[in-house]
Amino acid sequence: MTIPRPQIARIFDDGDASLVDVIDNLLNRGVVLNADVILALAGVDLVYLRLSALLCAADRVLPPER
Amino acid sequence: MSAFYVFALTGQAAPPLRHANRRIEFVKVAGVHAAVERVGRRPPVSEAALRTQHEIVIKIAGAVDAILPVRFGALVDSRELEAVVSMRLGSIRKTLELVAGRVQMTVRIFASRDANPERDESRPRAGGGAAYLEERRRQAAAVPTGDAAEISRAVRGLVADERVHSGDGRVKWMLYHLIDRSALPEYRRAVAPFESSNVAISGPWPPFAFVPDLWS
Repeated sequence: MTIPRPQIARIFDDGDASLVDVIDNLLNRGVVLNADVILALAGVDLVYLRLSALLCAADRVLPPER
Repeated sequence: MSAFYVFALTGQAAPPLRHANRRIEFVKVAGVHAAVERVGRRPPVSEAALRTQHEIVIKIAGAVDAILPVRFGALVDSRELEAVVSMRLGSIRKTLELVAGRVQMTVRIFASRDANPERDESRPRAGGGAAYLEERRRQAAAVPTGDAAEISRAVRGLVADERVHSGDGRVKWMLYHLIDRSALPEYRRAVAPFESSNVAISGPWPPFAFVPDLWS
């Protein structure tokens, strides 16, 4: 059965979001889009890397050798 | 190159939406669409910002058949968005097909107030990496029992998909059901007998819990 578009919008309008739903939906669920990397082995998440914090040449971070 | 704050990936475009002085437009990305706002920075996390984004995602869901909501804070440049979506286009398209015309209902099952809310001491305490990984493993392996199993059985014929997460402390179980929009009345009748002070049912929501993992 196809529901007309205005009725679809009303389906969602009926929802009264509690803060727990809002937090769960937006912070725990949803597509993770940012270019962060989770290194996993055998289905277990091991290391989480935030690329935006790491894209930096090593010689800009490490002190120069004497 | 533009900076996009991304609210959702969608199966189709819709006319631009306005919400609270914000303009959300649909841009084509690698064969699907993204509902975005052109902004220069991500909003700081606050209850108001979360509520506003939730309202916007619901508005987008009312305008398209298939939506994959994006987690809070997704500010990306257009090239990065194109690259991420292209990399997992097959998985994104498959999930868009699954969620088309469907909504999410959320069931939370709480521990009885009489029950001891103390956490299971056999589980590692939160805080360390090992504890986090152990929690992820435990949640992923969750098989519903008690009320959760009964509710799961009661709606089996109505749901297109189900996600089960075991909780800790007050929330024992979280069930996420993906159902046809047209099956909402029947679903509500099926779960109504279970609603109590220990069982909270909310929705319908866009399918937040049924999105693909783009990074594994």
